[in-house]
Amino acid sequence: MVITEKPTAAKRIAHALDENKSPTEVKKRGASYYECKRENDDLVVVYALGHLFELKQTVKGWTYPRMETSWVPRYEVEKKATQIKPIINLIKKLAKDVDSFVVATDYDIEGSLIGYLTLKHACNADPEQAHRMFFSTLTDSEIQSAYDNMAGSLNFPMIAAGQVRHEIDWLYGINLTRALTLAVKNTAGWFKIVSTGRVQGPTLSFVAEREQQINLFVPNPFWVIHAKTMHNNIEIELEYSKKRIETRNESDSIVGDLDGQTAHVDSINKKISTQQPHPPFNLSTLQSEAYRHFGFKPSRTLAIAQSLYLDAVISYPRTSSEKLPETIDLKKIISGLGKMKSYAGMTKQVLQKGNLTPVQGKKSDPAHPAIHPTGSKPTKRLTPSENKLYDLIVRRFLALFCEPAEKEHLRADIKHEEHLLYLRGLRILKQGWMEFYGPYSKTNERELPDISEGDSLLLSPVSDEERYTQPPARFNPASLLKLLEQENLGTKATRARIVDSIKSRGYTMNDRFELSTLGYALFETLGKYMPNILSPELTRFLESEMEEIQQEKKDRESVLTEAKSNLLELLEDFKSQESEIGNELVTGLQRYWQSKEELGECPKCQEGTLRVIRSSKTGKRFVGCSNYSEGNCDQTFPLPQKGDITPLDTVCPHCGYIMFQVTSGRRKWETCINWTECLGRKDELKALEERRNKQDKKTEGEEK
Amino acid sequence: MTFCKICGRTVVKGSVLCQYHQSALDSLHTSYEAWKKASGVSWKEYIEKLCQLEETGRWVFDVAEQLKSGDDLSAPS
Repeated sequence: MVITEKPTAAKRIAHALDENKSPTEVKKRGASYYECKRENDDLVVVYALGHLFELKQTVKGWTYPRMETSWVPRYEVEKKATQIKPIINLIKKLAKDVDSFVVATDYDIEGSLIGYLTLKHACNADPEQAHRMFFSTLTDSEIQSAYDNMAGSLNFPMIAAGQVRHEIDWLYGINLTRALTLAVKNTAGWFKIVSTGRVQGPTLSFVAEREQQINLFVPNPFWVIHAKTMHNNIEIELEYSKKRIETRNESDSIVGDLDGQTAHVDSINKKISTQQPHPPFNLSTLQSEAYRHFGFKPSRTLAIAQSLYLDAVISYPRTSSEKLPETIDLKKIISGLGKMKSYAGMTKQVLQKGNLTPVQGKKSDPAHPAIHPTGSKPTKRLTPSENKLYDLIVRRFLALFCEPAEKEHLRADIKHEEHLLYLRGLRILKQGWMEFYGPYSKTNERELPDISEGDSLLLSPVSDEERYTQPPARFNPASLLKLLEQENLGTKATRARIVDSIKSRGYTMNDRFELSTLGYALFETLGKYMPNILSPELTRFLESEMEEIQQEKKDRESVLTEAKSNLLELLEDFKSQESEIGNELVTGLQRYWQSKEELGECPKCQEGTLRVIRSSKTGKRFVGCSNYSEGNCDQTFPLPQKGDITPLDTVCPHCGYIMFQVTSGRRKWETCINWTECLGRKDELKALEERRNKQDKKTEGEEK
Repeated sequence: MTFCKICGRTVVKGSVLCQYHQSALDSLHTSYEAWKKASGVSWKEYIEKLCQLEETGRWVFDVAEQLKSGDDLSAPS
């Protein structure tokens, strides 16, 4: 029995291992497996669906502390995981007639644990007797080689590290989330999940600290000088040597000294620089580059890369490595890529040069090489997003074999008395690797005007502009992910999910990780009563413990016992302050709901507050007055039924009613609560009607 | 008074503001020296300018608005 991680991987592996390249798929009660033959071996290739088993508390009760767990089928923990049961049943049944087990899941911590748990709990087999296949791509040749050279045993330290990661994450996540949630419930009687976790706490802290810096930012003024001149009837903009002038007086005096004066070209300097190709991608550099060029969130990039890997067109994406080891047949990959029309020209150039030594990066990963194309053609038509990411990976890979780019930097120094101005030019002398990586590495070339040393230039006009220092930038998904990596928090497989969870829990708003009032309330409360949870130190310590398990320097039991004892201490401390913590969270939640649902004073009764209300009869939302239930005010306003509503502090310039923002997918727009009656918004309403009619016609067409 | 004059959070000892708005008030005072040196503005002009700039942090803006409206943010003696 060959145990794989996903149905697509099972299909690929069965196809690669079958002598006739036509394995039989046998379907049974909502699950399936593949039968194939390789020399004397009759193989059954089965698949998991990620994790088939999850941790569950052994003692009942939605309370804390809960320290003891056991592995149970995932459907016992997740109601929605209904596909898991037939898969486990099928594996159980098939395993009875199997004489040897091979784990062929991804070779990383999660993959190793999936294989181990499937063997132990679904196959009822002894993991000590199982074999392991190692591969970094799902190409036929690598799968066959991995089968023919399989290891005689599993990597047990890696499995133990994976197991303890799940156990510690469960212990911290479940217990702390319950502690916070119950603090709110016991204070106000509301049941609202307030979550935190081992990595989520420090991540929230990074976002909150940045938000504080932004909120406390006082901009300072500075001045920049703009100087222009004419040369050969061409207007040229010059750059003053000092980029920021600190005082208005100094700025005024520079303008006074230079405006209308003649300066001369003192010297023209040339500098040639070379730039090596960027190293091959690992997951984090791929995620960062994909966000920069396509706006893909890190979790989306990982999902697309995973899909490309399962189609055997790129190598395993969850890697830290920036190196391509010598064992990889680079010539074969490049020749394979050459069969694709888009890359034929580039591969021809690389192969003609004959130098197949790629540029390597610094980081390495013992399990997998850097992300690279396999050279195999996609078996299916790639989606537009897959195409974009694939092109990025292929071009980065081909650029590794190219020569450095050569740039010529020119700078003319222009002087008037003690004042120095610059005129800069940039020319690319040799494209080198940029020719292949071109779309993702643009350089703005600027020709230096035809001037010579000694030329005179009339400076006119010269002016100054008052500017202000800028606050630090908010995080975006890629920069937050990068920070987690720098701080060694989480793993390459979990970081993207943690970044997403900060937003999905309502702790941040918008794409730029703006902290919500709820996020602030949690950050403040944890910071005051349980600062350890926010500190990266605790989780970094646990990460290093887990790494030591993998390196066989520590054993799982001792790490787990220590983690439980530390957590118990933390929870006892929490319990003793539960009512204070509950009070602060409740205040924060009230403020959060107020900011999400309240739209200011009622214009009719001028006593009540306008609130977003959902009708219990129709389920539709509308704006109503808080005095309605007392029978004092019947003011209502309709609301768009789709998208997130965010009240704004501004009023409509046409009718004076309060404004709100609607966010639906990537579309955002602002309108007033009186939008259906507002005379200034008739055009908006008309456009909305047209969009609706168009959508209705489209739906009708699809139904027909 | 136990709640911040601006946002309703608990005030810090010896102030009418919460820790965030008190920090904003402190930053506002510190930065005025730099502004005065750079452009010679008066305190009033400085506060008015900060209320107009979009770079101004939220808490600093809140405090500046309060000061602009003539509110006394010093702690009661």
